[in-house]
Amino acid sequence: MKRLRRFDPVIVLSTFLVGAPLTALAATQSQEPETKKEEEEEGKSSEMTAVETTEEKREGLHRKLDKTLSEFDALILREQEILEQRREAAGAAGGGAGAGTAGVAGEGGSGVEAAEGESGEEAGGETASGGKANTEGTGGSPDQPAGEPIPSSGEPTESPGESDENEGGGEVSNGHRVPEDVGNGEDDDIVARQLREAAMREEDPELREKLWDEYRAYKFGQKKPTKTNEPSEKETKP
Amino acid sequence: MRRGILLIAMLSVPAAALALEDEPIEALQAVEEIPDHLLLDVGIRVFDTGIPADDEHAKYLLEEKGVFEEIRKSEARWIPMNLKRALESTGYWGAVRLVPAEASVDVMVEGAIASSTGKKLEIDVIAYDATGRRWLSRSYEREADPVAYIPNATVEPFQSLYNRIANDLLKEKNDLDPEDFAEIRRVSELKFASALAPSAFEGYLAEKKGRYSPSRLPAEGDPMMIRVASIRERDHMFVDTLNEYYADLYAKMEGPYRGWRSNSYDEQLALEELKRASLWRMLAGGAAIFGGVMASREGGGWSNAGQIAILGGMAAVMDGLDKQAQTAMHREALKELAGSFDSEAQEILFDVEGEVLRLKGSVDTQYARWREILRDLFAAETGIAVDPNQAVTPPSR
Repeated sequence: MKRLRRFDPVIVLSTFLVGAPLTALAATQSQEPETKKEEEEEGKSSEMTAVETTEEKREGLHRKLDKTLSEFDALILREQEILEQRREAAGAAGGGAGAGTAGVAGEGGSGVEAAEGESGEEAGGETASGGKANTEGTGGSPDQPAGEPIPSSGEPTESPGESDENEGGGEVSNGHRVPEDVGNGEDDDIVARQLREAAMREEDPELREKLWDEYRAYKFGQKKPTKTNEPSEKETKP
Repeated sequence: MRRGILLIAMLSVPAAALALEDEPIEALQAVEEIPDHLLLDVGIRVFDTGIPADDEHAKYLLEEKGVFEEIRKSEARWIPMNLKRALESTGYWGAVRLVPAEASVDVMVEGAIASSTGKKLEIDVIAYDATGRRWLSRSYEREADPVAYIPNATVEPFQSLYNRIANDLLKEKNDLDPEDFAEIRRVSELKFASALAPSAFEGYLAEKKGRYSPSRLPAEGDPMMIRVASIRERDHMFVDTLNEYYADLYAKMEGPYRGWRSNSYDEQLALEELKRASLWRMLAGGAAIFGGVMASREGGGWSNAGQIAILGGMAAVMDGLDKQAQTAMHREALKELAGSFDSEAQEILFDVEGEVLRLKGSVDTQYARWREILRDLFAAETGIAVDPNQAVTPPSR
């Protein structure tokens, strides 16, 4: 490098004409046999890499598929939350105007609603027995599933936080029990965060446990639990 | 006099016929649990509104008749929801869902609204299964059950119409052989699979004159089929969520819609009564005038009886004209009622349909990703190169 710093007309001219200093060219020529050897070795190893890459690609695609499926599950859970919020809002609005709507609607559901007890339950909150709620002027949610008791007028609806039973151990966060083994969720990505939030908001203990299982599978399926104190993937990346 | 009697008879015959035709129809109920292999899932599409989407002049003309676009759009969701419930209540079917246009289901029901007032509903319905076998293609028409408009009644005014469709579908289902059920389900699965991973399921379905049949079947435990089944499960979750939004629409619409239909029913009845009375008076008046003139001519001058008949006839015609003016008022009232409910329906529809579109948008993005992943997986697993554009524009799912 020191030689380059000195003004050497031969080097400058060769650089200008050939694009590289003659000395460098000479050095390259002397290294040619070694380079060929290296290329041959690389050729051999590239076949191995190609095999690995296909395997890796397949695994990567499997992971990607699993991740998109989890994302989809989270999307549906989020939609359920939105629906729930809409129902709560409608229920609150109905609470104010329950008696009023009773007269307007001709009260009530269709003749089919008699059969909703069976079909409605399986469809979750899908049945629209709101007419029934309005009929009685109870102010209950229009989407109150058939067969479920309708809250009486003016009765405050229980928020998810309030209804959470607190049996067993575990940390309580925002009124919702969080299992000890799932950590504090600081390093959650967006999917994990959605799953965690859905689990925290879930009132049904069985469903909540399933959500936590899904959260565990998603989070720790990809990454070891933080108990080992190893730096996380994100932290090790530059 | 004879003519008058004949006319009265003509006017009263349709009413009697309607009374006979409009006996309530009950949906046939399963008396015992139907085994799984004899259950088929039903998809019902949002109905066609029957209003041309881009023809503003046609829309204007329809509005003049009291047919409003937003009401029809709401009804295009309301009617399938009622049909869904009617089918669910029978116990003869698997899952019954309102599905997006591109859905692949065992039995698909489509419909178009031909006419819908509080008094009468007329819809065209077609139904076919996954193999392309046509089940139904006919029009259903029904007068509203007046009991439904009695305060505190809990009957759907056109429940009999939905029950009749449910019964007709059941009749078609009962005509199937046991092996048909398996084939319908298999074709439905393969259609879904080939829409999601066309390269992997190419050649699994044969099509001849619009009828589909499996030409070969995936091996037991085929990994690609397992992945597709896993995605299909999610597809059902998505459609169930969509159905909850439609149920939300149903619940929000029920009160105002029932109110509108009830008022519309009363107005419609009054309108028809006035029309009938007007026509009768005009005809009777015309006949009296004609009779009066003839009687006078036969008598060789203006006889008293003839003059009385002419005067009476003129009075009847005037009364008929007055009734015609009243029908115009009722028509205007009907239009106003519809216009008022139209705004309300629009608000409800925008709210729910906005959510539906948002959800569908997110899900469509996911489907595009799945198609891409499955395409790449197929290429990685088989070494067969796949056209990268193949997964981008699927025919259906």
